[in-house]
Amino acid sequence: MIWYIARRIVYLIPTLLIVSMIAFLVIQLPPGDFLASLISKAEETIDQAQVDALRERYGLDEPIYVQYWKWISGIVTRGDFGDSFEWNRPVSDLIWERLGLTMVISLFTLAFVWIVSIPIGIYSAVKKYTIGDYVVTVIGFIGLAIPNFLLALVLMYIAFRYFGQSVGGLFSPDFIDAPWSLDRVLDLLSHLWLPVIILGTAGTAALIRVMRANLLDELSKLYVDAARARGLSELKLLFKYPVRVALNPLVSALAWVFPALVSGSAITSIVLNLQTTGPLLYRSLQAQDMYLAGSLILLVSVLTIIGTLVSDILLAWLDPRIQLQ
Amino acid sequence: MPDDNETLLDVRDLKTHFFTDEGVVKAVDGVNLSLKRGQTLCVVGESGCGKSVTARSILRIVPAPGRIVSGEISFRQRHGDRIDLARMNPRGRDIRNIRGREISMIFQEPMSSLSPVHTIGSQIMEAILLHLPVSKAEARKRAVSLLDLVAIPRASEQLDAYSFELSGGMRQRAMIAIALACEPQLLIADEPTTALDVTTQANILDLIRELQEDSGMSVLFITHDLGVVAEIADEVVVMYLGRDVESGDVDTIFHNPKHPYTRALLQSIPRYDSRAGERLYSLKGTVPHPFYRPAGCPFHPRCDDFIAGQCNANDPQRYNFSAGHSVRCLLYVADDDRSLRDLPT
Ligand SMILES: Nc1ncnc2c1ncn2[C@@H]1O[C@H](COP(=O)(O)OP(=O)(O)OP(=O)(O)O)[C@@H](O)[C@H]1O
Ligand code: SF4
Ligand SMILES: [Mg+2]
Repeated sequence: MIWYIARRIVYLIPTLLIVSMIAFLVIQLPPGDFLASLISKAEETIDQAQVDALRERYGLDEPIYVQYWKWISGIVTRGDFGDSFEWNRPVSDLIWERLGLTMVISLFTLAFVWIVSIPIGIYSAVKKYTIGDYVVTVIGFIGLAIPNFLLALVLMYIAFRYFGQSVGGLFSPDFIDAPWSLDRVLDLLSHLWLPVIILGTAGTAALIRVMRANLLDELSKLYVDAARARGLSELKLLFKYPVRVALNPLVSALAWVFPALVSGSAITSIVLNLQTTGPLLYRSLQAQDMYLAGSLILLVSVLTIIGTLVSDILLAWLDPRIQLQ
Repeated sequence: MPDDNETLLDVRDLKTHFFTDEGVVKAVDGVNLSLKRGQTLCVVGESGCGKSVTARSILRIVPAPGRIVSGEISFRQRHGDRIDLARMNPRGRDIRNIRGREISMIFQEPMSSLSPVHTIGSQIMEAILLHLPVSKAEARKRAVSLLDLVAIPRASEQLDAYSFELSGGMRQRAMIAIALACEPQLLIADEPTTALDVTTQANILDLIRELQEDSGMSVLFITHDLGVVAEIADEVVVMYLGRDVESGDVDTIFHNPKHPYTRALLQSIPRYDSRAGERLYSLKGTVPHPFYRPAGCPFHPRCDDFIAGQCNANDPQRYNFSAGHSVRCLLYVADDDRSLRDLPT
């Protein structure tokens, strides 16, 4: 197991390298260098000395690999992601809180999706073709079909109209710019349910189907009959054998569920006015704020890769067949 | 219910049907069999004749939409009481105390009858801990000695092995170890060697026979291989389309078969002394789909001794030639002048 993890971590390095190159390419993508666009957009003329300093800092007159090296070594050694030109602040000032909130929302959504869909999926498989199963199936398809932004609008209306909650955003107005405190955390938690439900609904519906199908496959396997023939009770049997095996594919699905949550949340986040990375990335791309965009792409990709690693390790731990393959 | 002490299992007129959306599959439709303490009963018949469903009915693990519709499965428990398994709640505690404790079962596919994500040891210990009042440590010790018993080498190491780390033969040995964990009175073996190569088959058969001699348990052995039957059976039940068509002791079945189906089956086994080029007799036609069960004697479309107007109209009843030898065929009807007519061979 230790060797397996070590091997996977070693494989991580080239992957990270390639991802960082792609993110850097995104920065380079717009025609001309960004200083030109910066100058053309600037309302007052920019001091030539300032331009030269920027040129020097990012190595714009040097070959592209030197520029890449300057960028990546700044990130790795100093946590310096460059400056956002639109915000006129270092990128690192802008992203960490948003990245943190994105993580919080994604993890809560994931937990919500699993906690809701696994028991329902199990119920639906065990009670196959009963009324309960059909009800779950229909609700599931509705959940899949409703676009997130619509769900967002409807739930926001309900939250506002009937619960009088300040909707949109992750904080009440009082807490938006407040420093972190216990009250601010509680305020965050009280706002979290709305985006979590909205972001999680489609995933929950999909996962119910996956869990149901997996479990139906496993329920008809001979090892289940064999365990029953040993005298195990139906409930213990269900959870010890088929459910356990049916969960494995869900764990491996973690690898794609997580990035889907992070990237899929952009539109919802805009509608809900959430302080996450999605809207920031969207806006930075529109504004050609390339260091900000590239950094966000890099970080989200790195998170995805780490998510994949975690899900692989979890799966290897859950399923003894994996390591030998 | 039989009242002698020697009969361990007595199945009377068992019917197990599957109520599918397309219609009712009468997988088992009136099976009778009887098994004495310490003996081996072989159930033979072509694929699809209901052997496995019969076995599963006894343990009450028939999968939905299947259900026992009538009949009796009388079983004599260790402490002497007789119970009718057919009347038990298949999800209830009573039947669970029988499963694995009094009756164990091993299946056709050793590859898939072990959990892919649990060790062999955990599954043996599960069987022990479910039924015997022992500690975990004692259960583990017992599991090691069980693996020794079924001749799995390096037993204490293999306890922590997963099924995918073992060969087919070793998996079936592990399944036997699980089945024997609580010293059941009856072992049901549903084609336990079909999925294995010939040498392994022979080894597993030897193992089952040895274990039976040592423990005195009864074995209900399902197979379609008459060679295996000749080797291990005391009694034989020949099944066709969910029924016993002939039953008797192994000598009677092999040397004095009465039912045309039994005769055809026997003639279709290759013999070591058959000359090259000699055509092997084979059963004509195939087993009909269970939805299209022929009227009258279900074997009549394939029978060489078919009596027009009789076999396709009348359902043959059981006829007892002698104690323990019965046949279901219209050639043998006691009050008929055609009875006991000797068949052409
Ligand atoms: N789950 C099920 N649903 C519907 N029909 C079934 C089901 N299981 C078995 N049957 C039917 O019951 C009949 C008997 O099947 P069974 O498995 O007992 O045959 P078998 O004698 O064991 O054959 P084999 O030698 O191939 O194992 C078959 O016709 C089969 O189609
Ligand atoms: S009853 Fe008729 S068809 Fe059936 S086995 Fe006997 S002779 Fe053949
Ligand atoms: Mg079978």
